[in-house]
Amino acid sequence: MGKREREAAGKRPASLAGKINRIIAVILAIGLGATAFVFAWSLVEARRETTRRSLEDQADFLYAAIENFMLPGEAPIAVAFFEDVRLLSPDYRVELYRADGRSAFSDGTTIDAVNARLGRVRFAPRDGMPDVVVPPDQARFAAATAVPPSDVFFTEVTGGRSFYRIYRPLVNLPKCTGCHGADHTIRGVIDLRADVTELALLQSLTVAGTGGGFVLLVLLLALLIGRFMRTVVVRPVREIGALCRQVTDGRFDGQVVPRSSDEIGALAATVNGMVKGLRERAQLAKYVSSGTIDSLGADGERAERDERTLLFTDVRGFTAYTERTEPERVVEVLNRLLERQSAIVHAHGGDVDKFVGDEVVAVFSGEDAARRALEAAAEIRREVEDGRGNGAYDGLRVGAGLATGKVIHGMIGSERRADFTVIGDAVNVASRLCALAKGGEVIACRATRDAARSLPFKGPFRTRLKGKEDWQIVYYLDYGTEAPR
Amino acid sequence: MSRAAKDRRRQAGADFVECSASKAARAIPATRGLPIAAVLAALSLALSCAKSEARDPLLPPDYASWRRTTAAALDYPIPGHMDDFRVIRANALAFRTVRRADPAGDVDFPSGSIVVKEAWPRGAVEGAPAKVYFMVKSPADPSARGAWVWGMLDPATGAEQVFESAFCITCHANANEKYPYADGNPGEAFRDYVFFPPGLPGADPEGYP
Repeated sequence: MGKREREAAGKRPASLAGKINRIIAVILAIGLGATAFVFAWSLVEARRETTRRSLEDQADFLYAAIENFMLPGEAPIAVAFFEDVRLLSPDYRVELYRADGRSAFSDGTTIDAVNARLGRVRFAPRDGMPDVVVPPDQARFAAATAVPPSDVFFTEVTGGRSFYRIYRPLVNLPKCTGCHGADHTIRGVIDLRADVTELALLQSLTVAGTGGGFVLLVLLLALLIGRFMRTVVVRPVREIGALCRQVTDGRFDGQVVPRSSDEIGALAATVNGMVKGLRERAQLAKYVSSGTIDSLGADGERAERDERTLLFTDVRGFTAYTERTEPERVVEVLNRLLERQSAIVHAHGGDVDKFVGDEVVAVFSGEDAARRALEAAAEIRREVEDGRGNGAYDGLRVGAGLATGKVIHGMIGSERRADFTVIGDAVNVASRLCALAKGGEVIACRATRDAARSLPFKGPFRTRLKGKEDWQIVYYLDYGTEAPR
Repeated sequence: MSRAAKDRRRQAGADFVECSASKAARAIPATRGLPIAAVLAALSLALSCAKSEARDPLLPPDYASWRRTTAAALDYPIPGHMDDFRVIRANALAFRTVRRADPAGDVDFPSGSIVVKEAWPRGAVEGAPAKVYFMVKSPADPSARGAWVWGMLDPATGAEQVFESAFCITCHANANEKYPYADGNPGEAFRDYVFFPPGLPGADPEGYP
């Protein structure tokens, strides 16, 4: 199922912590599992080989004993020896078979054959050992008595108990042929059986203990490493992600506390630096125009000439107002007035170029710049005129002037102090028209009016402006109830 | 069995039918690290199971031209070879060694000595032997028991088989004690597992054609 399908099914996508935990668990399971397997396997094999060696050594001893007892014809000693060996430990069973699978010393067959071969009664018949209760395993016994014969080691489970067993063939040596004849190669088979039930149980417990310990170790290590990874990687990454989401939402006051000096710590420090830069830029936007901010990353020496619409607003009678009003109130009202005007300018796509005392200088560019500037001016006028009724601006009124034309914009100033601003005839005209406007009036030049003919104007009117020799044609925004004066 | 013969028999060791890591495991003390034992056991397992791979022939093709070590007619039954008719030959190196045999009669064949026993079934002595048994003195060979590599050649196919079990040496260890063949080794001299070494008392030390 792909990511989209999982999301469509409502399943939560795998988290980084989950992935890390799974990777750790898999690596530990493979690594420790292989180690535990090798350990358990080697333990079982070592115990098996130890027991096997023990059985083989015992078979060697028995072989040597039988050879040395039988060579001088001391079969009774061999019989007694075997019976004593049987009593040594209940965990071991010793049997001696003839080559035909019958128990040795169980009857007088061999003695009779030897006496017949020697031509005299060399050995007297006697009571033999009882025949075996359990006959040997035929297939393995056949391998032990074949020519050439082989020792046969095997395991068997009988009656709920486990046994290791070995068949050791007894070879009819040349020195044995004097009594037993040379017509056969294998005299018989020594059968040693060791009860290893407790050993097998111990092995099972060891393997189970190893396996259980392995599982616990994997879980413990996965827990510890997972916690470590969460602390070192996941938590810092989540904090960085949360900070980025805050920035996306327009909040720049957050910060990540670097907990380490590694790559994660370096990333946190970098993100902190980035957020700090964004925060400073946002704060800077309150004090300088967006054009100035934008120019910081560009070539500040580059000046261009483009058409702009300039909007100047000024508070009428502000000087007299400051003289009769408390300074705190003056600052409060002026800030509210400038804040509101700034918001309206931005809402109409304009850029506040600067505040000069109670004067606002705004620049509009792009398509419909003149219309948007006029609409901003109208909204400022309406805001301030409406404020007269509720005392928000202490009855102050604002006059506005707009002019449109080619201006030069670029970084203007010195090395120590410079602004990205505009200069040109339109700037001067807008400033003069603003000075001309009385409280509640919005005066625009002809170019501004021509670019926004859909708005209601009164005019044309002819006026003289300082610094201009010719009469200037101007228009007043028409508000219906209030005629220009 | 003499003490020397017992020691040599112990050195010869035993073998098992099952393909296992028995030899390597027996050589590792139980107190050593289990992982080491496991790794060695696994390596031994691979090596022991690889013994069936082909090896260079041990028996030179001219063995039938070697001189016989005894002129006796070896047609009486013996364990292991039963009543096959047998001819025992040795290479020149083995003959030269015997000419330097010490007064006690002990024989210690140098590396490279080869003794071969051709066998024909009773009543079918004509032509090529049905089986050819050989023992090659090669102490460094991993298959050697008692410093000899024991094997059999099938003349019909030319295929050699090396016996890994202790069966051959178990019987031939009797050659180092009294035994019922040849002179019977009355002094229980060490005859290096060979019942009819070249140069036995009364035999031609140069061998027989």
